[in-house]
Amino acid sequence: MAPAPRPRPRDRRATLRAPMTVLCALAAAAPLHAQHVRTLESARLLRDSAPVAVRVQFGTGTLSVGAADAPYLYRSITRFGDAFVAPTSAWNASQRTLTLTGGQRGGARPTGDADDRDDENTQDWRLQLSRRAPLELTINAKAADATLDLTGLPLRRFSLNTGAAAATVRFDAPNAESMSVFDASVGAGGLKLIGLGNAGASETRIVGDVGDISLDLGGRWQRDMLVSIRSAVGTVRITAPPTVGIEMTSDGALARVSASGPITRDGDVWRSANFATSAVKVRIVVTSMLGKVELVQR
Amino acid sequence: MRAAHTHLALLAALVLPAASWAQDAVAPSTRAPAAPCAARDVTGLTSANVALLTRASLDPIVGCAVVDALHKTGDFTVSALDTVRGNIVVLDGTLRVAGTVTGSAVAINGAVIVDSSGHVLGDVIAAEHGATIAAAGRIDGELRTLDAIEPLVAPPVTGGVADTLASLKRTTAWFGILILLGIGVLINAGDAMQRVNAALKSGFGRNVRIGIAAQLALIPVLVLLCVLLALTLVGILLIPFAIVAYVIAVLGLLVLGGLGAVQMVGSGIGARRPGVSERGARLQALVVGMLLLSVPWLIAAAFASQPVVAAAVGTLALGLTWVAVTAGLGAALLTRGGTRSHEEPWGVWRPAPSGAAMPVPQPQPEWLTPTPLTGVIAVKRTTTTGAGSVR
Repeated sequence: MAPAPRPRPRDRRATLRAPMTVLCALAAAAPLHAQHVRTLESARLLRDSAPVAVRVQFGTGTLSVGAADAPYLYRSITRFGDAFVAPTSAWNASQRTLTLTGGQRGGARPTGDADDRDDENTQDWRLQLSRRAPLELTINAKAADATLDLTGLPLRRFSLNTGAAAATVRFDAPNAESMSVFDASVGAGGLKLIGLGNAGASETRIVGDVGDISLDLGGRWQRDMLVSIRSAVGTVRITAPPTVGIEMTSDGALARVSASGPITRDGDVWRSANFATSAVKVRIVVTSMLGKVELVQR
Repeated sequence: MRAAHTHLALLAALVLPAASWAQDAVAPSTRAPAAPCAARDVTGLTSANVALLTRASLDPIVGCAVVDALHKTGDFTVSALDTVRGNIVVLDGTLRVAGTVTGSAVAINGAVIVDSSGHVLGDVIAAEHGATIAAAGRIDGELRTLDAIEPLVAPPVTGGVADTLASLKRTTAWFGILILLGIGVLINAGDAMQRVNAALKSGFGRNVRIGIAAQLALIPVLVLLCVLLALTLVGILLIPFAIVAYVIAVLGLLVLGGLGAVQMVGSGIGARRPGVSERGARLQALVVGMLLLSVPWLIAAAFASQPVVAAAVGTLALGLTWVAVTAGLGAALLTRGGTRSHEEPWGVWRPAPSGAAMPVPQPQPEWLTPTPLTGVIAVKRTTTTGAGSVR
């Protein structure tokens, strides 16, 4: 009986090539998920200038707030991925209240590779509010990096609540309205406040849990202000211009206080040299449990 | 014909996930509104436009206004004296509002223009082409422009297909890594692997037995090593380093032995082609062996959606792999990590590669006693001269 013919080398090569090809193809063929990032621009016209109470609820992502040109009450541009639902708005014309909600999860379950998940988790919200109508603005940003440029917004009251993300608030021009209270409650992300003098508030209250709080008291001061700062852990840094009289009282268990500039200390009170003669006086009460308090006047 | 088979295999591997996606793509959106939209006046529209409207109505930004509406195709103008009762939707064109719309004004694949005399009591929604509002134009509702209608969101591939694909990808990736690792070992320690290979061919059962014994002794030896180091007190500090070194050494033996076993299997399957170098033949054997070993694992992965079958085949694959690795470990130990021939008895030293065993030279008394000898011992000691004579 004749022996079975051995396969030729070419045959073996071809035999090898097929499974190798399948293996390579399987490794390369990623499941094709369709990921979408959508852009929505929404706006509402406002023809009058009666006061409006605006409440902004934002979950995760990046939030920037600024002033809108007329005739808008608000104008928002949102880029959001599949993991988020579209932002919503609720306008009550009779009560003049506006609620804007964004950054809420609830869309498609994240799938795919890292790039796809990045797209799905995209949530950028640029919100512009009316320059014309006086606003009582409340912003609740749970886990959003918030950049709030309040320049040009006629604010009568402002309240900010943040969770784990950092917030920057700035006033580059004087507030057209007289603000009663500037209220900020920041969680773990910290707060940077620039140009507080332009806010025109009679009282500023800042509560921080963990994180640094930075206050720049620059701007055009029109009236005295009482600033109360309560910080659990972190550095509180206050920078004041030389034209403003500063009196700071520090009350903290383990906080270190340092002052630089023409500032004298009297027990737990630090007072700038021009405090008695200054036209604008800012009284600051800092309660810091653990951390550092820095007062700088220059 | 074989080339065709190769291409078919490639096509099948690429089309498999795509086909499964295509099947899922026709599924309804997971974010569809709970309540169905009430349709009006869609009889005159083409099926494509009806489909577009349906899709738009599922988009929460657009909503039911597009279905419950007066529908127009192409550019359309609500003139200054006209009033549209309810919603109006323009498809594939520009909607110009110079009059009054008591509902919402919507343009899909088009723009909305509200003239200064225009008044929309509801929302203005423009998909894909934006909106233009004159300074005196009035919109009582919200203006919404979006870059596109929300695509029908296919539910993520889940369940059987996804599990199978993920398992296949994972298994393929692992064997790809192992092949690369084997090539690296082949390049850097080809002779060592060859000795392991030879040891395996000399007696597979003996290697398996030694491998099992080695696996059973792994932990006791490590404990003993740590105890001995601890007894020296100074060695206590070395215990963490010793553990790491021990683990690395064991892993090295496992990898060397396992790859050697795989290579042995591969060399037994595929005959060496004429004209192929020795290194090429070793590489071929390694790849063939690895592919063979991967087959049961891939089959187990292919049945990932059927846990019982996957477990059975996976157990078989695990057993085969364990046998190969155990035998390889035994061979790696027999060859002292591939540095000696398996035929060479322990305690005999000779330089690699393997050849005739060279006895270890016995220590000579001369260099064991460096101190000068004097007296009777020195007189009796046998010495050699330069000429080789013995005195």
